Amino acid sequence: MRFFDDERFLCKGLFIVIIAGIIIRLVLGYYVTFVNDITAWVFTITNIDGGNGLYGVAGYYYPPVWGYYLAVFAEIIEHLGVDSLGDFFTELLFMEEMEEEGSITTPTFNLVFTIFLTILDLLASLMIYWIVDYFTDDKVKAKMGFALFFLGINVIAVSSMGAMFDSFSALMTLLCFCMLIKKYDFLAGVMFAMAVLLKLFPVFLIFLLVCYILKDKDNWKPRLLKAVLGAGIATAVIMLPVILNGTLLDSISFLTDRAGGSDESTGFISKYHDVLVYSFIFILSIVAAVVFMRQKTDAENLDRQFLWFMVIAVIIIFQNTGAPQYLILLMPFLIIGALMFDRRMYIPLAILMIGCTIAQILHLGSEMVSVTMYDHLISFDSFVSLYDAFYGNGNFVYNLLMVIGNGLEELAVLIAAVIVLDHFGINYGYLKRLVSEHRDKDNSALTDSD
Amino acid sequence: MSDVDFKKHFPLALTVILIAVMLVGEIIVITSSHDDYSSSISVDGDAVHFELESPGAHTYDVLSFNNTFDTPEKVYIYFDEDYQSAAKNGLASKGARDLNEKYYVQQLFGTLMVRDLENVEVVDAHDLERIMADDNPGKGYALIMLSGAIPDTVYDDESNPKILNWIKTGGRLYWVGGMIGNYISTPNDLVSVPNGTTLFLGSECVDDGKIAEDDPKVLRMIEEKDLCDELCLMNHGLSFGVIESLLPSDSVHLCIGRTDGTRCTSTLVACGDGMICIMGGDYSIRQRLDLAQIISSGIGPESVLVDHASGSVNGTAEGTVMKGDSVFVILGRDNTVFCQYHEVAG
Repeated sequence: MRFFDDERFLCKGLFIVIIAGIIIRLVLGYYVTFVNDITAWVFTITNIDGGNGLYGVAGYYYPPVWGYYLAVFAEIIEHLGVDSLGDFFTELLFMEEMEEEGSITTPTFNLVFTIFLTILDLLASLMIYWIVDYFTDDKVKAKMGFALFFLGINVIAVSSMGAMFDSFSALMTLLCFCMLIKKYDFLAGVMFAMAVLLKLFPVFLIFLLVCYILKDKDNWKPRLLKAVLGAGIATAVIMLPVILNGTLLDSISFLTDRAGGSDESTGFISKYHDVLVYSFIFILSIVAAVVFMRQKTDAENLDRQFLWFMVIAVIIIFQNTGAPQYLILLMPFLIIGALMFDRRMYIPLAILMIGCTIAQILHLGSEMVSVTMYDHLISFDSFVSLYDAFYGNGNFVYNLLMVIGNGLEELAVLIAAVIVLDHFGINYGYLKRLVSEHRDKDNSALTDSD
Repeated sequence: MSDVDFKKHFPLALTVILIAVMLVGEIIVITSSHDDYSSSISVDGDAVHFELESPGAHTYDVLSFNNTFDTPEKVYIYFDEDYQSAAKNGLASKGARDLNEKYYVQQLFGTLMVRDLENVEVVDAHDLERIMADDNPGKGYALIMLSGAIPDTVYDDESNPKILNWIKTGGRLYWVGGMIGNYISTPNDLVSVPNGTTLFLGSECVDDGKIAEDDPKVLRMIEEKDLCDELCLMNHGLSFGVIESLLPSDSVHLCIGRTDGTRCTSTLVACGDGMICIMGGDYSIRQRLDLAQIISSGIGPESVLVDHASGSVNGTAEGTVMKGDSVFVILGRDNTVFCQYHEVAG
């Protein structure tokens, strides 16, 4: 008997996956949380509750969409009676690797926030299921996709330990794709704007999304107009309070902080590394869109091909890997790539999961701080020893894990890129032929001159 | 939902729901206000009865004090781009705006508003001159100075400047950044004043800022001082803080917040009928929050905590504390969402 059956959605196997994923997340979320990022959410909620909105005082450094969802989350938990979000502990000031030293969140808040992120992970997993089922009509394969994301060790680590919302970014991107193929173009535009104003990475997909609409030769004008209207109206509605308050620059500071270059670096390349890399990614994204545009595909296979190029486009975005949570956006597309287009994609998928998880657990030295201070699960001295084990000796363990984790992430993305190029005939054999032809040309030129 | 319904409707339904939830969140952000909360007190013999209202669950702390200042009639914030500043930018978080003097001033409005102080005004050097004219006592007013230097319009005499007279007649000066009295600011220059701190505090008792803020040895040594937990103070910056042992022996003062055994994060020093509060540390979020907390609570050099009640409010809550001169309400503890000062009559 197979683990997943093909008859109905909630089979025994999927039920086990869901329960296991929830239990693992809740246990990790309660006991092991990286307080650096989750504390930022508490500051944001506090600023909203106090009447300062998202940007009236410092504390929130993302575009507004996530802040709006945090406001709803806060409203719900405060009505449910969660009265204490976190505290400041003088004895934790020694934790230099934390941006806001001394502030931590309560285990209760960690748990309810994990529930919130678990719901987002579930929804993203459901979208992967939907897409795979829609294109393949194979529920077993679709459930595999669900399980690969929901039980992905890096997805669990980022949500429950890292308290980051990147699976929400993945969910919105997948929904944008679905709205387009279902021809709900206005809603596709709205979802695109929301995805970009949640976390900026999906902005690079704009060229491919527009090209998909342009491929509808009979209908592209009204479709494009609806999509642009959707994106424009959504952006205006989302950003209007920020513009009226004069805090527009604060709402995009996450991006401008990187685009402005690093004040601490010397040398042009290190100072403007991010600008250069993202310019390169911008160009590659356009190239991918143009290649998609030039593909000759019948109407029946267009959506499938569009999906394949979405996989390619997201791989392109993460040629600059960055923090492990950013790569959660890549996860659904690698999963879909492996299940539907090329089984070799399992290799970068597996390496990515391991690399991102290692890059996430490098904070383990500080992640039991909430249960130490509130529940006294381990003694304070034991916590300090654990912290020093990771961050002592010049941060040896921390740096080692970072190098290994980041290295595996880069390797995963590189392998994914190689697989993609192979699909276009650009592979080792092609490069060898190219070199050989070039050598032959040089030799014949020499012979002619003799 | 059947599989057919799921295949047909799920993405559309989810999209609509996510948009709706986002819009609800946007409305919550726009409409959340200081006025969502309230507190009131009534005197009952030797006790003060308090009532609190909050639309959602928050912890509360109700503090009863003796010898506090009343709510200031107005809080002035000195900021003048035409005059030289000795201020040093604070360390901004990743993605945050530079924490310079101007941004600090902008944020103070919101921070003080949470603590029920909305009569706040930015003043320049010439405004200060007018405010501190001879016939204007400082009583009932608070002045925040972040620039590390005092403009020559009110630091006009190295032995008896206008600003000192203003403080002695009841004004409250909250000083952030640099050694108080060290610099006279002009439009073109910063003029160094030897032993300037002595004029204001009675001795050269302020740290010179040479020890690094984030020195790990210092961070591990810091411990809490008076009223730190009660007032939910979080600043741990010690540079330019007062060295308590160097204050004059007859100085009336109160060191609150944190200490490394030598310097204090916040020190309140009596000066005639008024007070000077020295905030230690570089510009930081926590320093700004502590500054606002100290101003709004009315804490002074002779303040004494009489009683402290704490609990949780979701909707309404009530309780009693022993009677003092004033009651200070905090909702949210270290994540303060509301504060309010009440003068206790009779």
